[in-house]
Amino acid sequence: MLSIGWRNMKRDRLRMAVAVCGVVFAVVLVTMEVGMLLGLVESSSLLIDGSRADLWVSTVDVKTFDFASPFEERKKYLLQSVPGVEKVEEFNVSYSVWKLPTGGNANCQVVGLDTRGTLAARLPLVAGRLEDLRNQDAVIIDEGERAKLGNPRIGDCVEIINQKARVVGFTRGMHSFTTTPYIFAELNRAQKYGWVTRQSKANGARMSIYFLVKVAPGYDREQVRRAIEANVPDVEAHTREGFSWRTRKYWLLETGVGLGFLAAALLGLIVGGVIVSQTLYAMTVEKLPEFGVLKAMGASMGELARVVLEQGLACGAIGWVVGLAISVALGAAAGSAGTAVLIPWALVVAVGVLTAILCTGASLVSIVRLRRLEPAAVFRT
Amino acid sequence: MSEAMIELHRLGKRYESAAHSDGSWAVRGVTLTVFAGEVTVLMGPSGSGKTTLLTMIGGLLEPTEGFLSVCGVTLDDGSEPDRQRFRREKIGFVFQSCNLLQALTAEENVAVGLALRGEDPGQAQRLLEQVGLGAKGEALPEELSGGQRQRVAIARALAGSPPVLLADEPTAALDAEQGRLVMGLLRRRAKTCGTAVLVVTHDPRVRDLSDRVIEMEDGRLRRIVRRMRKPGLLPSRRLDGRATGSRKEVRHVSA
Ligand SMILES: Nc1ncnc2c1ncn2[C@@H]1O[C@H](COP(=O)(O)OP(=O)(O)O)[C@@H](O)[C@H]1O
Ligand SMILES: [Mg+2]
Repeated sequence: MLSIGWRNMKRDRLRMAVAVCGVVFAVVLVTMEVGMLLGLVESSSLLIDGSRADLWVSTVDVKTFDFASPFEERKKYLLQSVPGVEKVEEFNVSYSVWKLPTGGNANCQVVGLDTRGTLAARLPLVAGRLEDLRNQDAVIIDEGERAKLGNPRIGDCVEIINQKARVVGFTRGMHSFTTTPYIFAELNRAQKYGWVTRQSKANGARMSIYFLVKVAPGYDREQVRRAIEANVPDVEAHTREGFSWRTRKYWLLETGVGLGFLAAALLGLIVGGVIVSQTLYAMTVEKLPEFGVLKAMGASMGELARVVLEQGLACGAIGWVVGLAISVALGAAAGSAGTAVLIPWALVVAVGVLTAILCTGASLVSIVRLRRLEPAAVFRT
Repeated sequence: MSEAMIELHRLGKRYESAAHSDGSWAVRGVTLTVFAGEVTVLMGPSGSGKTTLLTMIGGLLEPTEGFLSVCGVTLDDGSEPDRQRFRREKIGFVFQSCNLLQALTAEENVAVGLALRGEDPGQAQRLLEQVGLGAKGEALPEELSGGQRQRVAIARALAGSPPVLLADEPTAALDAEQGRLVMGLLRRRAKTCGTAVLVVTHDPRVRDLSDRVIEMEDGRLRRIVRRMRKPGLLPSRRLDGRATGSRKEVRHVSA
């Protein structure tokens, strides 16, 4: 049959606009929530994924990159003696407090890296050089986090738990999942800027958070990993991918964060679905006599359902395209404001499928009404 | 005599609603045969059961009792899909308010009728020409006059050449001129294609274009007036049986 549904929609621009808005609302909310979640999840393992280490060594039962406990630095020598270990570098992450010019404090995460090493992630610098970190009290922060840290400029002196520090460079896009800004520093300075490392140092021995390991050529990564766990007491060794996934999984599943985002996305779906279904239903009721005529003429339920579905899916398709365009624009705006929103093709397709399901579901109310429609009623007007 | 298209025997309908719980019947004991090529007009006061009878014949309503056969199909224990197929294949409907699909042009409305009957929608233009609206194919229903709309509805009903045409007060909303035009179209169809045409109407002017007038009252047939035309004569405008060009034979139906 002719595309009656599409024509109905075209002739009823106002209703179509309302239904399309419903779809757009749902599409934007779902895309943005999931895109933001993906961006956050990706950022949670940014420093792991970017690293060139084959293995990450930590204390046992580390749940996520951000929450690791320190262990004695001298385990480094044990590590180096494990067969297949070519190179070991120290890498620290530790919470700390950054003093704001207003007198207040901002939480931050001090990342200590070996500026002469090769295994840590390369910093995407937009100002300054990595070597500048070797200068006295030098730290690098992310340009997107400057506002949280009181808008320091290059050369500004600041204070991190009563220690003097000086900003020597900016990275771009280095955000943590917890939204606490990263402060990058040379290993030794990070030791005194970091809360955990500093506390534990007070007990005498120097403490480390992670060791990055490069596996020697010809050795199997997994075998070296097991050998480390067997030979070095109280440590756990992870492949880079394994540790990345563990970190992502933690934020996504073990905290309520993932659920929170999904709940917001679901809310968008429900609200959008109700708008679409109400609009389609109002349209169906208005056109009951026409549907009655079709039914009297012998149109099957399937053919009537097709008309309604076509109306729904037409709104869905338009809403999907418009919603995605808006999402991409919002995502770009959020990105330049420092919040990564990832909209991969898989998300685009998934939202499309979801929209189709939403609009089909929204059409069901109308279809149920049409099932009950007595075709004999067309004679009683 | 030509083939019997509609055969009713002691047909009755009682609505299952509060208003009729006293046992009154909307239609009762109707026995009637309508032949191919015959135009039958059904008259009677409002509420006399004309529409109910028509909807039963059209397979839209199940009779409470009696025998009903249309084009050899009895829908006694027909399921809804059977009825649907029956309506699709055998019946063309014309309603009082013509109920065209508002979002579709005249041609598209006719094309829907064709598509439903599995015919080539491309014939829509030809059907519109048959009802004198060849130039209005692109017009939307709201751009047409009442008479024009009703003619589009007739073109839609004619789509696929159903053997039975049922029309419920098709001229009620039209002026005399348009009314005769619409009635003429139905009549021409009956005479050229052998379609059995059953028209419900209040309009006495329409009577002249019929072969038979049946009067209903309180759900029963009261009177059947068979008009016999002399071939080649134009239909008379006179309302009584003595009109030029036709004789009439009145049969009173016992209740
Ligand atoms: N769906 C229905 N439910 C209950 N009663 C009905 C229904 N349709 C018609 N009736 C009753 O049946 C009788 C015949 O109605 P109808 O066939 O519409 O008459 P007509 O078309 O001659 O005016 C009337 O008394 C009417 O009130
Ligand atoms: Mg009626």
